[in-house]
Amino acid sequence: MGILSNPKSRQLIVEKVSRYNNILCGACYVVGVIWFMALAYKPFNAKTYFSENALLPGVVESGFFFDFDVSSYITEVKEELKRDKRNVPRDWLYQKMREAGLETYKQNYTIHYPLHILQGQLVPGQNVYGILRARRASRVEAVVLSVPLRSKSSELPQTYGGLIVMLGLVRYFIRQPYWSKDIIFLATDREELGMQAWLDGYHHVHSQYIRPDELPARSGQIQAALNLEIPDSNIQFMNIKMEGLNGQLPNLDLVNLVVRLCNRHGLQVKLHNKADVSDMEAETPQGYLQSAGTMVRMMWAQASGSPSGNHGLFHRYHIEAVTLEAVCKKKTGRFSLDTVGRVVEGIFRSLNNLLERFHQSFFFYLLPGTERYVSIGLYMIPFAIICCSCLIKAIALWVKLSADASKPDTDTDIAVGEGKAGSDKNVTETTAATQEKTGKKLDTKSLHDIVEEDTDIDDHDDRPSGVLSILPLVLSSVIMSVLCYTGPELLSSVAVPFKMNVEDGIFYGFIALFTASLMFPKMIARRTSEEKRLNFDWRLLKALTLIFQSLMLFGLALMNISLAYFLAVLFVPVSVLVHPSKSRVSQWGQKLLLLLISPFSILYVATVIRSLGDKNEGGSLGLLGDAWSNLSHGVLLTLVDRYFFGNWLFALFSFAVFPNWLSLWSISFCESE
Amino acid sequence: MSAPMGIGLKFNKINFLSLCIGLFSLTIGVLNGIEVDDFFTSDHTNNWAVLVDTSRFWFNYRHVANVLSIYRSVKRLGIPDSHIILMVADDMACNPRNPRPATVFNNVNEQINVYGDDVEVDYRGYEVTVENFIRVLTGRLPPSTPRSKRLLTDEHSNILVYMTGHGGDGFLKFQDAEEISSVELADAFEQMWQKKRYHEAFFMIDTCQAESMFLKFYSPNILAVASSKVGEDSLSHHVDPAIGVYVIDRYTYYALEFLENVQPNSKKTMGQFFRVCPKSQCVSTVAFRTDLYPKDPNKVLITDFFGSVRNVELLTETISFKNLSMQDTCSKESCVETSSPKSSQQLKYADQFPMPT
Repeated sequence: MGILSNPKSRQLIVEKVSRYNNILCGACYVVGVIWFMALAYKPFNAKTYFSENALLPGVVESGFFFDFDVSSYITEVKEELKRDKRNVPRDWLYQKMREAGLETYKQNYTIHYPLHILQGQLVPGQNVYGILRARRASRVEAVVLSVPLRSKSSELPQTYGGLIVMLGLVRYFIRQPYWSKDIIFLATDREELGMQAWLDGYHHVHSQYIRPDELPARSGQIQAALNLEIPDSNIQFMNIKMEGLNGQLPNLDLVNLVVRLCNRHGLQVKLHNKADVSDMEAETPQGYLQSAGTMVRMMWAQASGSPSGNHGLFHRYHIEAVTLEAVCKKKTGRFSLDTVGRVVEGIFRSLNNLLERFHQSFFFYLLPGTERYVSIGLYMIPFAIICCSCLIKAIALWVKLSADASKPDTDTDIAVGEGKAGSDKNVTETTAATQEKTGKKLDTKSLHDIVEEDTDIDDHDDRPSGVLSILPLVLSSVIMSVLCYTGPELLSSVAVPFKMNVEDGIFYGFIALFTASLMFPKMIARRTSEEKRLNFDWRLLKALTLIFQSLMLFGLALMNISLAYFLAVLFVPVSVLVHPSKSRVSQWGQKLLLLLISPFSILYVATVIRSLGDKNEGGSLGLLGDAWSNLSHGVLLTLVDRYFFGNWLFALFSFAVFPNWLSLWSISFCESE
Repeated sequence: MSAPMGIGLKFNKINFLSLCIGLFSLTIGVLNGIEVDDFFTSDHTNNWAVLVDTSRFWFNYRHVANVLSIYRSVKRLGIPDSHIILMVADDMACNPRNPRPATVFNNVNEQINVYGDDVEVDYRGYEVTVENFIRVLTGRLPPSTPRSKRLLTDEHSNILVYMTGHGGDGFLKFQDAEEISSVELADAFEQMWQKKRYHEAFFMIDTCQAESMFLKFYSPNILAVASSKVGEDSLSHHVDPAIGVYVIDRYTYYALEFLENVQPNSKKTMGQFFRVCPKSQCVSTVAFRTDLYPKDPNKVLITDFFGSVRNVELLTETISFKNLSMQDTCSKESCVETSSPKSSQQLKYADQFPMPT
């Protein structure tokens, strides 16, 4: 007999769970969080390896060399860039690719900004791409080498080094007889927008906001892509960036391939500017901290849901892609563009060997170093344990609810006779009462439990119960979610006639909505109770909220584990703790905690952390101020990402995080009996 | 079957060729201090080879190189193309990834193109299936199969079966879709034995856990050697960085090194061949099986299987042959007379799609 199908043992488990739920919840949370972070420790994760036999990484000798004078090309590009601040070396590149004998094309596209940004003006753009057809193969597959075009006015580092490498590779690759796939050399304008336009054009996808023209020439199905962001020569080390849109990651084999090829040519490769821990130090505390730091940085980038480079947009089309970013130092950078060329050559020869799409290795992983990985099989367990604490609490509350419901109408008697219960009541009462009695013994151990027990004793019969009592709350939080989701369009259309900045309009609109949601329990209270007290079946609401929250976190974990983990770390303890209380300290403590995890605070803290990474000037106050001004910009970018690329982050916050928080917020306002 | 070559030979009754070979062998036999009797103990009359590469895909280049190298060796030692069934599962020479189009090399020095001008592949690409392989061995081919694709052996044939590819414990993968099990293979050999399709067989296999493929054999007169024991991997020998693949497997590499020094008149024995590629070279352990084989492998010449060195049968009486070539030939005029009268019926093409009228 299974433990759960046997009614007796099931009863026992249910009793145990409801009795020890507080300890269990706390233990689950602490164990889960510690275990998850411990995965960055070397003995707990694994070394990366190649699953795909066909790649044969680094087996082939490299033969790449520049057959032109690199420095004169660099001078030419620089002149091209100097001509106009907004000029990108598009025509120059087009000319050079043509000269190399490559079939080269330009693709036009127009961008229509959403939310009345730029008053509905259309912004034109142009991509350049060339196709090297595989001479001896069927030309039904392709790989892409892309470089973003950046003008002098761009805030991001220059990429003309990548253009030079690409030109060198065009001239070298075109002479080689061994290509089994077409190679597409692509230079895109306007960062992700240009890339999205090209991908949409390539795959005949039509979008309202990015309108690509028909591509003049196409190749086969794209199997992999490599994006180069190389400012110049004198390369110190490379960064590999793999985080894509909505936290999607490329197949681990591709990441391994790039890392292996870089290492083979002596080029140091790092993750988010963090070098790998050496094997000697890996098991020391410093080593652990370093790899944990790398893992958290990677998770941070993934959690944001926005692509960390142009490669991130390929993932939506199931094309594996990464970005190789070079970090240059004028004096200490000892690697030239030739090395990068050889690395890319090696990567493309391996990709050329592929027989199928990447499918063998992991798609879900976290990297504490370039050569160590934490697979989904490892990280899901601690994550599930964290979420378990929500479910345990929900079960405990549910059991309590059903126990309450099965009580006869004389429940005041039970409440009064709490201590001496069980003598002359009927059977159901006895079990319920003993549960509470034993519960009391345990609860005296911790402060919060006393508070909760108090509420139990004061259980009045005038407390509303059932679904009807929480329905208004649930409905109104849904309405708030819908308002939040549709708000930006409404606000932006209002902002334009008022000659207001769209960014400010939306931002202040959100602040207004957030303020309204802070007052939300009070507003509901007026409607539900004559005494202006908010009173409802908080246990039912809390149980439902916890179940919804676990469901949301689990669902999210399958797509973006990093975001799910960060949300779980913040939400789980607060959501388990929150309950109506009489004690002022407890009430205000809860409200403070809830404010800290409110969507608004999360966004603000995230912006602060991001600004922290950018620069460290102006002291902490200056940092907070910077973050504040960045916040409105960040919100707008997230919104725009939703329209352009289909970023889920905003929808997730408005339909999952926000209503979840609203329920918890209103529970903290509920009248304790 | 064999006639012992004694002292009392009657020189006047043997033909010139036999005389030459006889004298030559006698000389070698005396020089090497080997009894002449030992030299003519083999009693087969023809040699066949079935060489199979079962794996496709570019990264399995080495398996094609393996099988073509063995092909080259047995051909050099005298087995003609008509007696070799060569099965190659993929076309490496024409793979677009091959930087040296139309060639296959088995060494980093790229001196010998084993996919030379005169390679006759009998079963190629997707024709290399378990079914075809077993049909070839057992002779159960459709009537339309050309003779070049048949294994036309008899009870006097020695067969070399060489296989290479990706295997596991008890199976060898064919293409990327199916596999042959060791039991199926053993049954195929038994069927051959019962149908008198071989005299002696030498089974050689280079794959992971290769030994498992011959452990189930139960038919007589089979000698078997494998590149690795059960539980061991067979490894590749080296990479050709210019081509960008591993070009040959360890066991085959050292076996070829041995075979390169074998000439058709060589006295090397199967026993010596079994000692090829010790663990220090192969990394895996070369396994062999001799219990089904009645003779002592140390006294069996390697050319019994790898070459086509014929025995000379000496007869004491003269056989007179009729001169067939000079008779029954006709010139243009004389033949017309005998030809059948012209049919008055006019010939026409049959309807390709007969329609009911």
